[in-house]
Amino acid sequence: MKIPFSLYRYIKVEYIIYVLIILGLTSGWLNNNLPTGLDTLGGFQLFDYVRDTFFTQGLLPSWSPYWYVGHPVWYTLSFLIFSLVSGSIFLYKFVWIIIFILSGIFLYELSFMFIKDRASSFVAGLIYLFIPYHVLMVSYSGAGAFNVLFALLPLTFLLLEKTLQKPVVKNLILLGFCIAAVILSYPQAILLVGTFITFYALFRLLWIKHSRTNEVYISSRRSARHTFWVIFGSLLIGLLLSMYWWLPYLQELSSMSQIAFSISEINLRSSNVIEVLILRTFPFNIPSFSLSGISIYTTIITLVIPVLAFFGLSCSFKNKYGMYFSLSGLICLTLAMGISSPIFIFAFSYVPFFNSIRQPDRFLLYASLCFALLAGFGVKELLTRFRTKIKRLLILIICSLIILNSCFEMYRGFSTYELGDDQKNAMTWLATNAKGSLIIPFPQRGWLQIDDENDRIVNPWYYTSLTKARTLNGGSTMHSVRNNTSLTVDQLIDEKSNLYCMNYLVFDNNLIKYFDQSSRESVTSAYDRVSTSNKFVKVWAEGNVVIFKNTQAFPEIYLRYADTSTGKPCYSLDNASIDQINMQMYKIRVNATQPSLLIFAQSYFPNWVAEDIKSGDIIRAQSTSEEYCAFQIDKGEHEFIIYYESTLQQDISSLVSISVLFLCLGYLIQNKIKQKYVKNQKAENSAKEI
Amino acid sequence: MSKIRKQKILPKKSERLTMFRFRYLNLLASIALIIICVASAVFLSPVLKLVSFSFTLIIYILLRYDSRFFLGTAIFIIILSALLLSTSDSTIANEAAIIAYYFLVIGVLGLLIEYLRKDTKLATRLRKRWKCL
Repeated sequence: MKIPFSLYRYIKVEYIIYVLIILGLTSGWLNNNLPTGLDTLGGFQLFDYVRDTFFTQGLLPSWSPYWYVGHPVWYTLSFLIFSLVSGSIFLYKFVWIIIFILSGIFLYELSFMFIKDRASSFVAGLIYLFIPYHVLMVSYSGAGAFNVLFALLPLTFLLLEKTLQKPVVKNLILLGFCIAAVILSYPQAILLVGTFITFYALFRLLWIKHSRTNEVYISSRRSARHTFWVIFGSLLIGLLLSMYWWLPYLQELSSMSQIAFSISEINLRSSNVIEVLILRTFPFNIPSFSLSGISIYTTIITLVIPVLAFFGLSCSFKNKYGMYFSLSGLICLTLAMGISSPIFIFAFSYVPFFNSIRQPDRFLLYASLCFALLAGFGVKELLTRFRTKIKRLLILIICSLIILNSCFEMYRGFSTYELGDDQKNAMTWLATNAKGSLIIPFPQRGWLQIDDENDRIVNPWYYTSLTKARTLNGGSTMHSVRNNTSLTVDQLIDEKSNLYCMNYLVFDNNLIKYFDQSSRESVTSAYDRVSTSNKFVKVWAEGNVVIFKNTQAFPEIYLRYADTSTGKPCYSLDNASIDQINMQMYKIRVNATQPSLLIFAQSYFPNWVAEDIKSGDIIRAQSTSEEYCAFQIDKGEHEFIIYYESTLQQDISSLVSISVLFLCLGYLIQNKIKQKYVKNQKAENSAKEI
Repeated sequence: MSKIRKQKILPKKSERLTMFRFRYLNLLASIALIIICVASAVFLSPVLKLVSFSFTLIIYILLRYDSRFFLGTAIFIIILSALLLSTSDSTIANEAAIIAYYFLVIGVLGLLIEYLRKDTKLATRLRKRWKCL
């Protein structure tokens, strides 16, 4: 049977082996149940939210003005295409598995470009897939952005190297697209991997300048000039394509608070040096994934990857690629150690934006690539020392050890769990009764426990909130969620929960079994306090799940004014009503008995404005102590339209990005047509000659 | 056609013995330096630790010892620290890992200097400018 579209040209045996191995080991995800990974589950909620907003309001993430800031989440677009077929959770997990496999394939190709040996490159690709840090990041934490970055990183290096070897416009544009995708994947990507890509480009430039002979060009000076323009052009295309995000983001950063972390917060999240050196750090302290306590045999297997990488380092230093990846990998390891390393502390204190990195171990993302490539060099060196038969055996042993190394993490990480009937019914009840609210796990420290059976974090307390802290991007997550995470039991009972528009409180007694005695008492005493409190009324109960309604919760919009006699703030909750027109536009009717502050429970940004429908007056937003949007209004009846106003920078940057995108796409299409035409002409000419 | 064979001029027996002894002594010296480094890392303060590691690196460079010894030691200590982690206290394992990391750093630096010493265009240029090299 003939394979259509000549796809078989691109399919290699190595790819098929990768696909089979990964599909076999991630088979725990090939069902319609919820993934156990905390952030993976969060990623699904994000995707669900994007899909809803796209199909109900026609808004694409990152392209509507309000969604400018923060996380561009461009990769959720791939789910939109899939969701046309089905919006199931299976499909979501399947897409992640595909991206996971692609990361190995791209590294295999990159490794082959440097090593020029299929077997060693195959091992390098396998190592990249099975590095414990990669497996845990994809299956458990930070699945969204990091999974994409793990795949994009080798692809960027591959395209950069291809463009340097064959500097044609097509390659340059493709590299530009790739750089833009890296920038748009994750705000910290520029710092975590962007610097190393730039250093690599500079290294190549210096290398060509100082090398006597060059494969492509005879004159090294001419070659250096070409390299410079290739690097400059691709970086420029990448920056212009992603300009719609980063230019407004830089502007918005100035109005954000709490974008930097303190050294004590970093201290909490710094990993042990041993964990960093063998790339086995894990942000959530789930015992199954930690290194301490595992058997000696497992530990020896764990060391296969670092030992191969260090061996490769000692062998590959004569090779310039090996030298670059050794040096940059070492820098990454040093930074990933967090406060254990003085270099990290120096960078944290003096390098701009460096203090916005909460988890230093994220530098291991690039270190993983270096380890895999160096291990590839090491395997090649090993293979040259043996005869063919022993070579085969050696490859087989190394591959088996690599697979065994992360087999456990793969099996446990890519697992799912199912909700009980009472939990499902509670979710259904909330979906209808608390429509428009987001369900947030109550973030009391010590109330998060580990379910050892399923390797997941459980929390028996949840609440729903009407605040727009749920929005995908930017300041919302920066401001309100930060405030919410500092809530304590007392604040839950007192007025603070009202201010956060906490309308329902959910207690799931199914999860109490995972708690030890002391924590259990803390959790259940909170239950007693809530059930005896006047403001909470039990509205739903089934099985082990109870839902309380907060009778004093503030609505989405309300008035605040100072009491004339005492000067204390007073609230008027019934004098304002709100209708949502779309994500960034609301219609508000308000009747103020005195000059007051109209508070809109939306994360504050200076671009929110209220336009009086009758007079056309525009009131700019100001921030409250809860960091909500507030508008100073006069006494009387008003009708306002509240909307998010785009700035000149946003308009210009999106125009530039769209223009560059269309120009690049236009060139690629024209180039393809031209190539086809030339090919046809050649075929005709040769036919005539015959 | 007459084949011209290059005849190897073998050193005399006494010379070979001297060469062997010299190599043997070099090997012993490099290993001894590494042992001193490990001992200083375990017992001395951070500043003295830094001094001893830098001193060892300088000696390695000056006497043209193989810097891959450092990497070998790093691999050995990492294996040791992982085994320590699985069997005993994690603090000791972490201390061992820090020593391994130091060896990794000086190993990479040593390799870099060895590379720059060789006949690269950059090295030639530097040699021309700085005649001491």
